Amino acid sequence: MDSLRQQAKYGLDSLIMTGAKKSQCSIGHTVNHEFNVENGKISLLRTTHNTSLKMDVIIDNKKGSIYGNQITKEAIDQNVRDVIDMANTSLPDTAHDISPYQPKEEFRANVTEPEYDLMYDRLTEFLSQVKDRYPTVQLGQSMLNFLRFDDICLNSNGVDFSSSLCLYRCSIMFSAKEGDKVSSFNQTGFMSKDLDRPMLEYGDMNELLRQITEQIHTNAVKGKFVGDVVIAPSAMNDFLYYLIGVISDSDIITETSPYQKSLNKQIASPIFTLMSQPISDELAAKEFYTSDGFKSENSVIVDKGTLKTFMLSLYGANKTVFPRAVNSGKNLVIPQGATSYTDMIKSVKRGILLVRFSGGSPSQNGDFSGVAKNSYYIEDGQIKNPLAETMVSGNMVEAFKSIEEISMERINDGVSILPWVKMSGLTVSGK
Amino acid sequence: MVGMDLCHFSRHFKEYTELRLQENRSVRITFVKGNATVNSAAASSGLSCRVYKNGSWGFASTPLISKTSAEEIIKEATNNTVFLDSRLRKNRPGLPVTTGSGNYDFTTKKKRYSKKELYDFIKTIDEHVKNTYPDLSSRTVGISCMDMEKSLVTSDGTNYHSMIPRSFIIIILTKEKNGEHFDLYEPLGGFGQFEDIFNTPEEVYPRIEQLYQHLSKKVEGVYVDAGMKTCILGSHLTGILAHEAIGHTVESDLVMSGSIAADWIDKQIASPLITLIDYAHSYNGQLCPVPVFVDDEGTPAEDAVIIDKGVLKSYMHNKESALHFKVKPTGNARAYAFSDEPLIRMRNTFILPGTNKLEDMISSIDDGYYFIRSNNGQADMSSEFMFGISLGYEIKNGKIGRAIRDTTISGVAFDMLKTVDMVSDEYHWSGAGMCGKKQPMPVGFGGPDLKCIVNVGGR
Repeated sequence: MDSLRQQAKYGLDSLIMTGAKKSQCSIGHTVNHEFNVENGKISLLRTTHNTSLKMDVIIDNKKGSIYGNQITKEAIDQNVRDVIDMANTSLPDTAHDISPYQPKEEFRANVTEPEYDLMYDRLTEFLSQVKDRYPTVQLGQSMLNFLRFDDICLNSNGVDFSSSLCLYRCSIMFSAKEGDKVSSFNQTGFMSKDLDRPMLEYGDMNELLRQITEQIHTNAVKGKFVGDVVIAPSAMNDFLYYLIGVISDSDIITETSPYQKSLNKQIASPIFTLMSQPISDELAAKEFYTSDGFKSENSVIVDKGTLKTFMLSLYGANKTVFPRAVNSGKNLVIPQGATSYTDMIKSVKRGILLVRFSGGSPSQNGDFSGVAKNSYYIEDGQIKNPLAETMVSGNMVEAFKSIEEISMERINDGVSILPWVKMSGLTVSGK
Repeated sequence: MVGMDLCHFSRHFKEYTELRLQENRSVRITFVKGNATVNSAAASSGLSCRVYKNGSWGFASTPLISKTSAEEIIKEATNNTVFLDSRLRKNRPGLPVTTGSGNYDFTTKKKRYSKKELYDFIKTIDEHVKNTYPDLSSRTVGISCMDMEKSLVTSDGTNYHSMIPRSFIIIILTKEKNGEHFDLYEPLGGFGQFEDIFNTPEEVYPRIEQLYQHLSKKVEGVYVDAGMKTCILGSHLTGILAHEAIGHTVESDLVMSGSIAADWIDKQIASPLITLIDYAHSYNGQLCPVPVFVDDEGTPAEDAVIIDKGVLKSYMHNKESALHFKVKPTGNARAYAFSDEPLIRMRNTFILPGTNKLEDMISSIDDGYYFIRSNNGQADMSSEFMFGISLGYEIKNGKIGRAIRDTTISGVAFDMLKTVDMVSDEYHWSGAGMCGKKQPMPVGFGGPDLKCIVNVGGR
């Protein structure tokens, strides 16, 4: 870390001395230790080291940014010349700025060393358990990593943040096969500060592997109907990312967001609350400070259906009349609801359990349609059969208003904590 | 890229070994509604080494480019292989020996634009859009350029260098009607450095005008009628279909992981009108959008004929899958960044043109759709696919009708390809594809217009 600090300080001093009175310099170092699995067997052990350099410069309201991974003195000198050249060629915009002075802070979470033997043992245990419990499962490209991130962020207003974070990360891709029948693939994973239990017990790993074995034999919904859709935690991010996207810089600055005039107004069902918790102890993933140099704080984005903040950067806030968000919208959390998952399914007259959504990008007004993958048909309160070739469509803005129930059970995958959410009035169409 | 004689290090190779030096360089400038929101450059470079022993692989990489760091990563990758081999004891045979060579450097011979010239080029286009189309509610104009430069030596004797560039001008136009915003996106450009593709801003104005005309019709567009419909997939959609819905199912690592295509070699899996080839670098004597001459395992890249007149003929291979299937490697092993290991990836996946005229295809449909542009696509190993449609038109009584709103089409590709009964004689390539499969990867794809039956998602 001392060496990174020296290089970041050298970079920032060089920028200031070259005339960039407003500037920011971040330097990071990442180490990744990764076991890869192909076709259900460990295939590769990969160790990668990388460094990163980011410089932002504002000269007379004109901005340039440069990204690199070489941090020798010569490379920093060259990047200083290039980024200043870029800023000088740019157009002035008074909204460009850097973060103001904040007290110096060092952030550390779970700083430790990788344990190859533990990683190997957990991975072989996982492969063996999957083979025993779910013999039709085909594990495709999957991996278990130990990651260490070290980072320094300095700016010309005196901001001095540094962070060190270690975590384990797993991602798996899988399908199931019997004879010449195959299921769709599905994927999941988790992040964790440790590997103190079998990998099948993290997040929704076990449940989605169990489900895939049922999805070899599927049926399409016949015809078209309007019904309830229970969104599983694994599909919820598709809905949340739409919401975060249309309240972020681009759509708010260009005034094309459907929520442009909705700040502090009801945009969702009163039982829906959405939080961003970048520094939660419950989550392995962290964001200690934003890329524009602000210390991150946990925040409530939607409180009992009311939109409490846009997700604007400093630039976005300066460009509009709205306040800056206190984080980048990562680590999304929906608080626990009042209905059990079992009761939620029982309450569905006709609908689907949406486990993975494979859809086109929603249009600007929120209209969306896509295929219900790895999903199930529900009728009279019972899950009937896995689906194939079934599409679900609706409007995102209306869908958030239509939320009727939120489950008590939630999935924590280390990056988010999400429940099952029941929405109504969505169109389901089959063959 | 910092030069370095990698051959010097081959004396440290104890097992099958690849040593690669790579730099990816990119430039991005973006104006959103006239605001200069992005003006950035990026470069990422380093060394990597991959080692194979008895069926186990080890890999290591570093951003430090020096004699010492090269020796260290060879040692670290070898140690990783030894660790895995000591645990796994797969006792697999050695990989097929392939040796590629050459220097394929596509750096422009023209004088490079300065940062200011590049910036002014885009600013001129943005001003043109602003002044010519004042009724737009928003506009985005930008450039995105990427150079990928690699040097590779292997213990098989490969010694190879390449510099493969691609450059785009990005246009997004947005129009508003009754409080709703509609947009269309078009990347212009492809293979080559910016100077080799774009001479003057005025050259791209006709394409922007075309996009604007489509957008003006889309604003008045109608919701599609959901269900199975006879449609024409425009050449862009055909390219995405070739890549997403067919291509991934015949990447041999996914074949081994349970792809639907695993049991279908030499079987009729599509209309006899369909021939699909993953081209290595050239088609009809012209370079493809993402030419690969030697892959990142040092294998000279060859065309992979996947479907020949509707019959599945082969898969795409790296060395290890070729060993498994007892065939020749096809040169499909590609790595995105210096720190990435090569994976089986597509290069330029293409459905060959047929003999029909597009006008005749349209006039043969009483009630259907002509889908022109997609904003994304996904498929899985069962070949079930989904494409988001951002531009399309109704076909009514053999004629193009009203524009449609955004929608989604889906189907099972191998079923859908059996319904193809007309294939146009014209084709287009797209060089803007970025495939995601653990690592991102630039890919090319293309083809003709196809008349077929697909499931259309309505409201």
